[in-house]
Amino acid sequence: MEHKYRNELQHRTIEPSKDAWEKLAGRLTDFEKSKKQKKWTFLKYAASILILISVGIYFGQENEQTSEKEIVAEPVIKVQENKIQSIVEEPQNVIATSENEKSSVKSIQKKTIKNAIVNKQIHEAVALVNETNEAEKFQKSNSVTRAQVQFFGTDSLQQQKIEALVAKVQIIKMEKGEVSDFELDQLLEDAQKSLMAAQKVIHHKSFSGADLLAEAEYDLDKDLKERLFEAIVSTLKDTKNRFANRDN
Amino acid sequence: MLKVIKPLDKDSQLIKESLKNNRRAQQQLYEKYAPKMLGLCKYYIKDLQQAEEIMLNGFFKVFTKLATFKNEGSFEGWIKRIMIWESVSFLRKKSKLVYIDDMSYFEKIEETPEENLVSIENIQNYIDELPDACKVVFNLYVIEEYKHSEIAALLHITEGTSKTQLFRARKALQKMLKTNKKHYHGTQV
Repeated sequence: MEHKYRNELQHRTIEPSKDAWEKLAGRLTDFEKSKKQKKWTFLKYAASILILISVGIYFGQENEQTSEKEIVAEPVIKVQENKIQSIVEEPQNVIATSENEKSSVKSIQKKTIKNAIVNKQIHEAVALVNETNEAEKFQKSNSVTRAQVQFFGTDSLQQQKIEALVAKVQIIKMEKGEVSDFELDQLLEDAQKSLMAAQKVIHHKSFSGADLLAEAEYDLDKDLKERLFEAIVSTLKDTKNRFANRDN
Repeated sequence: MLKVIKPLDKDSQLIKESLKNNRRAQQQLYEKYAPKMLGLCKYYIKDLQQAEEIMLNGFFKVFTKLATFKNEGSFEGWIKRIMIWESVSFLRKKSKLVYIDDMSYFEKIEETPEENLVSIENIQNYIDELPDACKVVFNLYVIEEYKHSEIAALLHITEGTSKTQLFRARKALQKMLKTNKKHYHGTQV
């Protein structure tokens, strides 16, 4: 009996209402629309996330580049100082190289300023410019030409060396806050060497390194002795005068 | 080695087109299977309008999940499973299927006189009178030819409960038929 009913029920059909398909089609259309909208919103979110990531990467790279440039820009002052030092040490090369150095210093300045602007570190750039200007002024004031050496002789050269030394000490103080004994000794030694070289140039003598060192030490000792002697004499004069005044 | 290429039947072509959201192809599939599926939904849901609503929900799922149909079985069988699942889910949500073990319920079934004893409409009416849980198990076992293990898995019940529900449904239907037969013969004589 069940078998009989099963066959009949399995093949039973009931016609749905006429508007049933319209309802279903409407639901399907709505579903497709919402699916498309979801797709678009997903794409929008994905695009905005991509833009954010790319912008982040771009600025990250920019910062890396500028920080690298900063590291490169830092030794500029030192390079300038070295150049100034070489100008002071080798006066015969000053006339020939001064123009090139000026242009190189200017190009370095431009580079450093540009880097600083890119990195939005205007304050640092201004500081850098001030420092380089000071260095340039110092360079101008302390550059010794061959003509000057010949004209003024060794005394004026000594005086200029002392001024140059003082300037260098000031620069080191500006940079580091204080000058170590080792740096002072180094500066003194350099100045002696360059002074001896200048004297050699004036007298057109040939010289060896050992001679130069010996002469430098001798001159330094001599100079110190003279100064000490003068100081002692002046002190003695003062005491003598005091005693004379008291006796009177 | 020759490769046998199965020619695309009408259903396959319609399915292919329906996947592209071709509304015309979808309508053709719907018109082909809707009457059968409404009949199927009617086994489970007494009210015809509700049954139609369930059928539409089933077709909505058929068209939106059509990409998951892998041509492993018949397309009709796949739609049928969706319709049965929709019907069972509806009954579960609506009335919460209660599997009654109390025999007194079946003893109280009213003897409703029917003129046409063997008509399919009468059978449907008797089935409609059954409690939902019994009706679902009876339909799945007798009409859809599901095994008790399959029914148990589908309805989240034990096989024992499935068997009990089927026994009760059968007993109730037999009683209803017997009563109506008596009545029929009585009037005839």
